[in-house]
Amino acid sequence: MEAVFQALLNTLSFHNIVVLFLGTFIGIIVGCVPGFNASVGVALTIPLTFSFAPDTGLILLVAIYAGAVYGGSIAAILINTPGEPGNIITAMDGYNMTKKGQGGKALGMAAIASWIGGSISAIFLFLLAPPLSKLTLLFGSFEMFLLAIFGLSIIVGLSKGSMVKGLMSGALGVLLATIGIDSITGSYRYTMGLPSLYEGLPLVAVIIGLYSLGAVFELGEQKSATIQNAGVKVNKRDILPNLKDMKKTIKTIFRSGVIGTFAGITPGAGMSIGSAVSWEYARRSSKTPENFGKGEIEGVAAAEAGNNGVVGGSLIPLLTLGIPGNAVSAIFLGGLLIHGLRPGAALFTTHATTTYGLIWGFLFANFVMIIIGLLGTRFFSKLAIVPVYLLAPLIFVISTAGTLADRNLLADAVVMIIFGIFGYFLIKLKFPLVPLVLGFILGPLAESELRRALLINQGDLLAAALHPISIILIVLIIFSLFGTQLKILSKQLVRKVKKQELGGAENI
Amino acid sequence: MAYGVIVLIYIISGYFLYESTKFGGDAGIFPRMVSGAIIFINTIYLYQTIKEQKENSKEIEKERNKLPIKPSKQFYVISILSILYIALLSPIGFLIVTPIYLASIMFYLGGRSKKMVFICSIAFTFVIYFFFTSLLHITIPQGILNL
Repeated sequence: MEAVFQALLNTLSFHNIVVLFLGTFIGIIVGCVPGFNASVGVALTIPLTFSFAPDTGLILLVAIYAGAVYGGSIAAILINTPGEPGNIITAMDGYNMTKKGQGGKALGMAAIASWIGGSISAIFLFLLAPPLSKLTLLFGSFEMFLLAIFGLSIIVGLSKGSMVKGLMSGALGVLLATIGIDSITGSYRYTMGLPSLYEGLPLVAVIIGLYSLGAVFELGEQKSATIQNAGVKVNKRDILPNLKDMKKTIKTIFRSGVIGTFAGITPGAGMSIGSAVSWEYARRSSKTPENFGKGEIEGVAAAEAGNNGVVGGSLIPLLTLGIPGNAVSAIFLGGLLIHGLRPGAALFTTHATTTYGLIWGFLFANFVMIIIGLLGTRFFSKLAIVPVYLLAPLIFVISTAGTLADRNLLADAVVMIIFGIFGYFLIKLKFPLVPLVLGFILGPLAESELRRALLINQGDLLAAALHPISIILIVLIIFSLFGTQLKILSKQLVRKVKKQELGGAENI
Repeated sequence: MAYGVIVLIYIISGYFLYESTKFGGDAGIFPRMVSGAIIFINTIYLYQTIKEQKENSKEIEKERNKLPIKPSKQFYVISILSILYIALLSPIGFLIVTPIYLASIMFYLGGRSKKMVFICSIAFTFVIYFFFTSLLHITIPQGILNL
């Protein structure tokens, strides 16, 4: 409890408040500028956090994460270009409201719903994360190894497209993480005599290369297809929703915040599901469900409270078990590890002040978000139509400077560009990128735990695999990888059996 | 392109597997496991690709849709300019190379107003330089300006 208050005081210190405002502001920009997104924003910010103490650095990251998710709603509402996948649902009602001349009201409602949804998830984070983190105390080395594989398998299982490609992407990430001097034996592994590889491939350069450079190439390919809408004028007076709107939506906002939080906790569910389920639930319980999707303010409220609820929810499995539910939290995990913070019980004991600082930071970021969001609506609405030709080279230069900030080695910038090009080809071949990043982040953890388990069990892992927790985790891994196929198989089996029964009945 | 990637993955994982036999102690166990797994997965991928192509050859229209999209011209231009940018960053310096890089990409991607491109490329360079050096105390390559 002492740590919680200590963390509160830390978070309220002048420089942390400044960082909180700055992070949320940058986050909203990142979210509302099409082409940027929360993943790129958090990836580019990780190097900046080196200049700060871990608590300040993490507050910056979480503020950007929260701000970006809200910022995504601005472009979704004004120009029908969702900044984040979670804002697709927002665009359905939000853009229609803009077409009716109610864009300002939709933006105001999005800000309020995001604030409440995010805050609800922050409260759940406070309540659920500390007891859940104690679970890891029951885990031995082999269980920790399986937990890392489970985290990876969830992302692989939920990757769009072929599972083989997801598996390959994840395994390549794990393999690339083995480059560098082995910390246990001191062996030089795949360093090819290059001193810059002794410490392994730099995480920051890899993440920035894959995400930021990926965004640069993507923007470059849009070229003339620049988002050049005439821009939408937002009236100052029209930004705040009126009392009637608030009365109508408040219940939906609170319910959606809770739905979003649980979607965030469920590994792999993510923002799109959080906002979609919230929206659908609001539609069903509405007296006028036919208005949903045609410019209903309650639809904007549900979607935005839902996707901001996901942010806090996704931090729960991340901080406690090291399981990231989506791309942003996978990168966020990288940020934690770079600061020497490993998910699990220790985050809530040894590093409690830093961790609670992060949670307080997230709670306050939601509050700051509504202040900046409402005051700056007109400014942000202009950013949503920034031309691509300005944005693409700018992201590349910031990426290069950010990569150099890590170790000040030009070799890291080379790694960044290699991974940027590699990522481009992977995307072209429809390989998902998140498993690669996550494999790269979780690989070293998995390896150290596996080797420790081998040492403890004298090379015989069968006994360790028969522990109840191990069995549960193995079943979960199989289910997360082959769940969909198993479902299809079981349906086919049931159909076959029914056919046979029918055939048998006819024969009689 | 898919076959090229498959061969590349075989070469990379083969190299990782071969090298892992030379490491001392148990340092090679994990890389061996993972590279072995990749070779296995890659074989499944190869099988799937052959199967897919066989099916595609029967339906020409589908083949057109399923053929991997080739890298665009923009990708090549941006990549080459970006590699050049990084190569020249250290010898020439951030403050000189960055505005040139920014302006050339901006023009290439369709920036029409010369005034806008020049002002933005110079302003962006100084803002980033100031942000990284003064606020974050990070050393940015000075190049010839340092001489």
